[in-house]
Amino acid sequence: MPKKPLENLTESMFYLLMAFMRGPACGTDAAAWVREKTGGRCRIGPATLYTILAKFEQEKYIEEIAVEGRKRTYRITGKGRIAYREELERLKRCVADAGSEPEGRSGYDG
Amino acid sequence: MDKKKKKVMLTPCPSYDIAGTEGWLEEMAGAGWLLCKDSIFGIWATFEPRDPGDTRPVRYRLDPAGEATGWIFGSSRPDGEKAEGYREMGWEYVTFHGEFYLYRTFDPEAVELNTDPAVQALALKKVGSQMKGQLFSLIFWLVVYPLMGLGGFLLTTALLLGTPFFAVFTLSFLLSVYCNLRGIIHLRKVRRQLRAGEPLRAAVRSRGKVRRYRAVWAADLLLTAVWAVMAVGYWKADLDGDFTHLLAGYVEEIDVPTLAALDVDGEPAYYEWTTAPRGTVEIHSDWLLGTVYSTEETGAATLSDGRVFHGGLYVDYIEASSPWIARTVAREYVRYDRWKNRWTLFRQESDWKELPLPDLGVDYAVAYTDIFPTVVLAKGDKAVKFYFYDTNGSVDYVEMAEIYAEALKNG
Repeated sequence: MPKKPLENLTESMFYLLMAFMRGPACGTDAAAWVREKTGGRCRIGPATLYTILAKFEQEKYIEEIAVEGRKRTYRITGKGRIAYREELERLKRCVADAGSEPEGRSGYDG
Repeated sequence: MDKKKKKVMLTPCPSYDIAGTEGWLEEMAGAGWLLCKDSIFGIWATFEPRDPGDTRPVRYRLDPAGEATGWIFGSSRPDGEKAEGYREMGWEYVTFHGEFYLYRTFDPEAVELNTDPAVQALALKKVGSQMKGQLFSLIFWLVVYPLMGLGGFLLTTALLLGTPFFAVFTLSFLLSVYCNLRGIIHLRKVRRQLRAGEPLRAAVRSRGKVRRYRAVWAADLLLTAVWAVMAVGYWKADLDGDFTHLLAGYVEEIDVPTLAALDVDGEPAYYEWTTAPRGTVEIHSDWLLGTVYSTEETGAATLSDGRVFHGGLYVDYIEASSPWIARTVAREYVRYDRWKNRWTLFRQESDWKELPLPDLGVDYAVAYTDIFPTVVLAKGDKAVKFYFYDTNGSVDYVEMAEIYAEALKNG
């Protein structure tokens, strides 16, 4: 049976893919970029970071391109770019749906 | 040299109770004790005192190792890049615990090890799979494999090894399965909670819960130790020949028909071509199931009618504690031989052949050729399986079966 791909990306996963969309990076640099990008709102802990990197590699969203000492550099793959764009589209639709609703509405009034 | 006095404490919860373990280690740190780096952390943990005046808050976190951990057969440290990455983010590796690597930080600003509960659930999935794998191998190696090897020869093996041996082994096995299942169920609950976006919470560690956990592993340890002692004792007794005796001294004491029962003129002359004594009886007695006498005779015997038996006679004679046991053991003998014949590596179709038997007046009677003519009989609380070879072809299996049927009826 084929492995089930990641259904929905979590916020940390999405931001990490975003980091790799900018170019190759090692895990800690990507996590640092996410923290800076989100103004410290999205902080990625080491266990979360390495679990995501392992999962991304397994799903072939990223691939290792260089190893310097103990540092591994990854780059995003075509499959990873598609996953990122699909998630971006989904989030845009969510935001558009929310935008089409009047703010402060308190219930379903038909 | 480090002269700090260390403290060894029993752990209050299993390794898969992540929040419970982390909470306990943090309590110990609050009380002035830090877990020693690279120490054995299993059912006990070794602590060293903190430096006087060191009141920094400590956070401990368990992280799924994602690989087999261990000092000899597994990995005792995370890989270099991972450890380096964790260190860069303020977390130092301490030791491993079960399927987890343990990290700690003294830096209150260090970002949490797990910042995404859904991702943590993903990491824990591997631990769940590892535990399922352990459960599977436990069941395979301790149940499926022996059963395959014994071909359903369970009761007869229990008769040979003894009920206490079997009972201790079964209890120990069931306890291991129980502990493993608890872990799997616990982790499944934790993963469900994490997937719902809820971070891990330490459950209240009541004294009763801690006592129960310690009682279970103490029982597990005790059962394993008792079983090991029994196994070594059995093995030593077997090596010392405690179960095996020369038949000559036992013929009068046991009801098992021997070569002499063939109306032998004089005494059978046992072959002397091996160093092992020919003409022996092995006795295994069990208080619950009964006693099994296994005789082995190879030699020549001149019968009173002039025929000469040249060959071997091998008998398993069971005085069971109930007719049900006797009959079940008899059926197991037949099933085992049939199974062995079917699955043997160099199988020969002609090896197995059912043989006809006249009415012997017993409860169960089966005869077949399994290389040699073999007969299995049961009557009341007694059962017998014998097979023999006679290079002269002077003795017939029916004649032998009649002798044993009579013995069962009169025994």
